Amino acid sequence: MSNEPDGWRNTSNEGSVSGQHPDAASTGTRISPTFADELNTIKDPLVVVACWRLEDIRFEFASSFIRPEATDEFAQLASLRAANPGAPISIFGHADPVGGDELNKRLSGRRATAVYALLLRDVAAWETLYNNAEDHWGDKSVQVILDTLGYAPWPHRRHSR
Amino acid sequence: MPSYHTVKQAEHLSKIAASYGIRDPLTIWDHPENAELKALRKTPNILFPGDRLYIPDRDFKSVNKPTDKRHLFTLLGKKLQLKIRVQDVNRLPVTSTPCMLEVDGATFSLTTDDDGMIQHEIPRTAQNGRLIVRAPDVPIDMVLPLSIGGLDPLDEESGQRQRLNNLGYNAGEVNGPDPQQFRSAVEEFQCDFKVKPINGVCDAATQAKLKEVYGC
Repeated sequence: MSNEPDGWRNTSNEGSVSGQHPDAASTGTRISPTFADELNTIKDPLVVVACWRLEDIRFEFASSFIRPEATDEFAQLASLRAANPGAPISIFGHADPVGGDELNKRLSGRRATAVYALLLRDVAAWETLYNNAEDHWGDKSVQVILDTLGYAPWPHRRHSR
Repeated sequence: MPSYHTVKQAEHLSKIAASYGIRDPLTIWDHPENAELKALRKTPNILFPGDRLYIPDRDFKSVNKPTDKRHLFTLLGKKLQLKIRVQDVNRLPVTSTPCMLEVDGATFSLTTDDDGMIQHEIPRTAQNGRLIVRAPDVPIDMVLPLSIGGLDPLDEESGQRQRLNNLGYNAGEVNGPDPQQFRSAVEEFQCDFKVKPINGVCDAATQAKLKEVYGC
């Protein structure tokens, strides 16, 4: 099931779902009539069928690099998609409040792009993120990727599975 | 006998006037007893539950006219309309698109103009309606139940929340307000429309921008 009635739920084993959304359909969109000037602008309401969340901790600190521990969450997303065939996905990026607004807006944009690129297997987009001067993918990201795929473990890293 | 009427949720002036048998709502709105409320609310179409309206006596007018001739009597009172501007999920106007506007049983077939707008006269007592927009690209129409007169004033938090919700910012339920959700919605709005500082507080500058973007 998608939306949890009691709000946020987050465990590393089960992945993460979240969210409550206002249900305008139950009360009616509230608008003003007019004699002349009042105008009501209404945007097509997205009907949310499921919510999914990838926590801050699944990204490297201050980076858009997605850590391999996010596998659980992506498995959760796969089940949500299977349960809601044909539903389009919107991805929204958020960043930790620490740091300036402008910096965080850019970081959250890159994080959303990273998830989007992962879902679409867009290697070029990941390459762009890797080369982004403000981000911190660096050698560490390459090492993490190699390690996760089972190649060349780091010399001083203990492997526990 | 003049009296006071306490406004309830989703009551707009035309409907209130009609319930007292008064044809022209402006005879109520422009009455000196309502000057304070008029200065506060500025428009008779957006009132707030609890507002007190002075309802004057009905004015009876009599004229002497010969009965064997035809005479023209013009009813006063401004027509009530609905003006709705429709945007798609990318906040672009939905232009030249057929719609159906249903109001208290009557159905009107309209087409949005180049700004995504539809406009039509509605009964003075209009309360509930529905707007159906036939989207060309997807098989699902946009179906919007409407609460006519349900919009609260801009300087009330509920009015801000309703406008943000209508604009797609998910500011929270009217009956169960969530301060954090409201704050996030205001921040998103401030960011999109470049209102600084982006602080989640719906201050005067944010309200002014909200009025400009929403339309009232």
